[in-house]
Amino acid sequence: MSFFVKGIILEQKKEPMLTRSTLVMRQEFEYFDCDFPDAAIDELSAEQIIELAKLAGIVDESDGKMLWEKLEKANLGEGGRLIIDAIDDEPYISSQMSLCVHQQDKLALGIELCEKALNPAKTYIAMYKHIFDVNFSLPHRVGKYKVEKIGGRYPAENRAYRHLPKGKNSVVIGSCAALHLARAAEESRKMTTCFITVAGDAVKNPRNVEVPVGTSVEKLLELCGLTEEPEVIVVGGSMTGRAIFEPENELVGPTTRGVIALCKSYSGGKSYNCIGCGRCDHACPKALSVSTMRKLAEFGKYDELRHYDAALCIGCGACSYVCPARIDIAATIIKAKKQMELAKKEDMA
Amino acid sequence: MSEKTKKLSAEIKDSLGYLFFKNPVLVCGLVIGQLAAGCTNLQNGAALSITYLFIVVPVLVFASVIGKRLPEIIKTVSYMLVSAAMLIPAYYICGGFSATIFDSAGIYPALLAVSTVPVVYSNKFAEKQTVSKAFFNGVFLALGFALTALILGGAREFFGSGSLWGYKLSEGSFPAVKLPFWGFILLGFMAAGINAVRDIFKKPEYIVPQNEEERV
Amino acid sequence: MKEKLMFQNAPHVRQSESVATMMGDFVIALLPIYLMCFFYYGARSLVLGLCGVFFCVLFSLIGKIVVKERAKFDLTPVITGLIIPLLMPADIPYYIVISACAVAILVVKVPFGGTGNNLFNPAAVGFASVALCWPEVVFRYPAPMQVIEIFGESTAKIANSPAYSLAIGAVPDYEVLDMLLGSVPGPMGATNIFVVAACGIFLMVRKTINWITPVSFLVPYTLLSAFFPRIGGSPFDALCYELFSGTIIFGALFMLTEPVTSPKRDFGKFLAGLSSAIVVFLFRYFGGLEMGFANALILMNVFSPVFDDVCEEFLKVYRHKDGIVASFKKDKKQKPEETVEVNLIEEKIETKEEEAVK
Repeated sequence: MSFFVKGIILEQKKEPMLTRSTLVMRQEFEYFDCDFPDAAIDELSAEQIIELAKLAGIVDESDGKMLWEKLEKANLGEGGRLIIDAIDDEPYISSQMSLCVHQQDKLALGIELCEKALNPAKTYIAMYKHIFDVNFSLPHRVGKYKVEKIGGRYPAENRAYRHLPKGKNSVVIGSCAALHLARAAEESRKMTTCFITVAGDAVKNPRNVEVPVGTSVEKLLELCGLTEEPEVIVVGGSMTGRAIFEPENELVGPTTRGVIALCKSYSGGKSYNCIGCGRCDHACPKALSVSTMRKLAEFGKYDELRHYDAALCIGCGACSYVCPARIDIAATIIKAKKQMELAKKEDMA
Repeated sequence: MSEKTKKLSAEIKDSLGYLFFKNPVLVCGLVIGQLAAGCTNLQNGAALSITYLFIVVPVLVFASVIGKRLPEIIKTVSYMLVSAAMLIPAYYICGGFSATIFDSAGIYPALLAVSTVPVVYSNKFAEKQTVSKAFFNGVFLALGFALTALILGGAREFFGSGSLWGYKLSEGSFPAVKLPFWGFILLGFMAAGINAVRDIFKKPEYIVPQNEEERV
Repeated sequence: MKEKLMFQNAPHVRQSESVATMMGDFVIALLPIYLMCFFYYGARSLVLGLCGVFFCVLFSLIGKIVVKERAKFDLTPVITGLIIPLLMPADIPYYIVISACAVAILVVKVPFGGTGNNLFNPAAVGFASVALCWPEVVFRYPAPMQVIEIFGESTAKIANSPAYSLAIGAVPDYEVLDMLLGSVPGPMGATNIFVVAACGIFLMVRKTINWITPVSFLVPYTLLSAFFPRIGGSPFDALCYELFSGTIIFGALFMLTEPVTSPKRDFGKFLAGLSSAIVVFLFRYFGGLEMGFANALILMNVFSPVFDDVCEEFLKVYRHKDGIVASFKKDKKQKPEETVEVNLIEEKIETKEEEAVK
C-alpha cells in the first residue's frame, strides 16, 4: 500500500558523535557483593545472571523496565528470538549505536549473558539502515552476533516492533542494558551511569557521554561546551523530545536518550500559509489525512476529526518535519486529540 | 393616537434594517442567482425591482391576514399563487416605463415569484406579524433589493457597454462584466463592502483565534 | 542561558526544503521559457513578464493590507504574474495583462483568504476572463522570429496558430519539428515544447511537482487524440498536432500541478489528471474556443476535494483492515491487534515523557 503511505527518510546527522568514542565523566563507581564472586563468566547459570541483573539494578533504556524482571518473565518457547535494540532512527541520537561501534567486546559478552538467561533460538542486533553521512561502514557483526539492518521510513523503531513475531516469542533488550549486564558480571559494578548523546548546532564538542544518573542538563552541556547561547534545549529524542526552560533542575535518567541544544527556534515569528502540497499526508505512517485534520483541529471541529480517525495518531511528528511551510501540524493534532479524549470522558461521566 | 404612531414608527424602525445592514441580497443572500444572471443593465434592474415590490408586499400582507386560518397543505401553494398572480400587474407597470424592459430581463422576473420570500419567509415569520408590520417589512425588503439591483445593473451597464438606461455615455470597455460570473463577483464585492461598513460602526462580536499564542 | 530559552513543539529538526525554496524552483523553471520568448519575439516579452510580476505583487500587497493577512509574504504572486503573459500572444496590449493579473489576484486569491485558500487556479481564471472579454486580441498570434515594438501598437505580421486550424477542422501547415522548437505562432510561452518539457523535468527531479499529475494527464490525452482525431491523416500526425498546439504541455506541467488547487494524495492526483484529460479533450473536440485547457482546468479545480474524499474512503478501509479481516474471520482473539500495537507505541512515548519529567 505504498501508493498511499510513503513515509520519510530523515537526515540522520549522526556524524561527529558516532565516530568519536564515548566520553566517560569522572566519577566513583559503586560495587555490589554477590554470593558467587569467584564463578567464571562462562559457567554462570540463568538464575545467577538474573540475580546479577537484580543486584546491579539494571534498567532497560528501551522501555524503562527492570532488566531482571524482563529476563525472568520472558518465556521463550520454540523459535524464540532475542533482539538487541540499537536502532536509533532519530536524528542526532546515537547512544545505543555507538556501543556497537566502540565497545564491541563488552557488548558481545552482555548479549551472551542475556542469551544464556533466555535461551532463544535466534539472536540478533537491530540497527537502522539508512545512515548515509557516516564516514566508516557500520559493523556487520558484533562478536558472533549478526547485525540486522532495519530499513524503512521514519518511525522505523515502531515499524520494527510491528514486524516482530506475534505473541510472547520475542524479547527486546536495549544494548546499554546488555553492556551494563556484562560489567556487572565482570566487575560486579552497579548500574550508576547512563549513555546520552549531546548534540545540536550550539554544542562545541558533540559526543556520546557516559554520566552518572541524575546529572543535570546544565552540567552535561558544560562538559561538551557551547559555541553560543542556545535558544532551545531539548531533552529526549530530536523528534519526540520536549523543550525545557530550567537546565539546572532538569536531571537525566536511564531512559533519556539525548540532550540537544539548538541555536535557533522554529517557532515564533510569522509562518507561511499551508499551500496544500500534501507532503504531510504521504509522510504519515498511519495513513491519516493530516492536512484536512489540521484544518479541522485549528477550528475545533472535533466531531469531524473523529470521522478522520484522529485517535490513531501516534504523535511521531513526521508531518511537522516535512511541512515546507513550517506549521506545527503534529502539535495541533495532538492537542485536539487530547481535547477529544477529555470531551469523551466528560460524556461518559 | 400617539401610541399608534409610536407603534408604527417602531415597526418602521425595525424594518428599516432591510434597506442596508440586513439587505436581502447582500447580507441575507436571498435572490443572488436571479440578480447575477438577469440584472445586466439599469432597465433590467428596474424591471426586477418593480416585480419584486409587486410580489413581496402582497404576499406578506396576505400571509399576515389569513395565513393562520389556511390549512397546512395549501398554505405554501396559495402564497405562490398570489405571488405568481402579481406578475401580471408588474408586467403592465413595467410596460409603462418602456415597452421592452420586462421582456429583456428574460425569465428572471418570473423566477422572483418562486424565490425565498414568498416560499419560506411568509410561512415562518409573516404569519405571526401584524398587517402593518408585514407591509413595512415587504416595502423595505423590496427597497433594499431595488438599491442593490439598480447599483449592480448601473455598474454593469456602464462598464460593459458604456451607457446608462440606453443613453450612450462612453465606449464600453469591459464587455465580460455582463456575463453571469461577473455578476456573482460584483455581488460578492458589494457584500464585502457592506461588511466593511458594518465593521466600522460595530465592534466585532467574536475574536479570531490567535494560533501563535495558543501553542501546546 | 536561561533568559534566552524558548518553547518549541515536538519535532526539533525540520526538512531543509521550505515554501520559499519550492516557489523559487518554480520561478527558476519559468525563466528559460522567457529566454526563448526573447529569442523569438524580442524584448517585449520580457517587459510583459516584468509587468505581470509587478502588478501581481502590487495587487497581492494591497490585498494583504485590506484583508489584514498575518502570514508571511511568499512568491506565489510572482509565479502567477510570470505564467499569465506566457499564455498570451507576444504583441498583447499591456492593459490586458494588467487586468488578467487584477482578476487573478483581487478576485480569485485575496477574497478567499490568500495563498493556500484559493478555490481556482488564479492564472487560469485571469487568462479565461480576459479571453472572454477580448477574444479577438487574445487569440491573434504574431508570426515568430520578428522583433515586436516594446511600446505602442504592434505592427507585427499575424499568422494562424495550429490550435486555431484544428478548431476549424483544418490541417495545420507546420512541421512537427517546428512545433517542438516553437517557431510556430501561438501563446508566447507554450509553443517551445522542448524548453517547457525540460523545465518541467527539472521541477520533477527537484520534487517540487509530483510526476503523477502530468503523466496521468498527458498519457490519456495522447491516447484520446490518437483514437479520435479531429483532422484527417495518420493518427500520429493528429496526435502530434493535438499535443503540441495550444497550452497543453505548458498547462500540464505548470498549471495542473499547482499544489493549492490539486488533490493531496497521489491517487487523487492520478484521478484528477485522468479526468482533466477527458474534460480538456471534450472541450477541444466539441467546443469552438481555443482556450479549452484553461476552462477545463477551472472546471476540474472544483472537483479536487471530491477526489480527496474518494481517497479518504479507500484509506479508511486500509487503516481498519486488521479489524475488518478479523470480523470476517469471526476470530475475536485477533481483533484487538491494531489497538494493542497503538497502545504499545503510545505507552513508549508516555514513559519517555514521564521519565523525562522525573
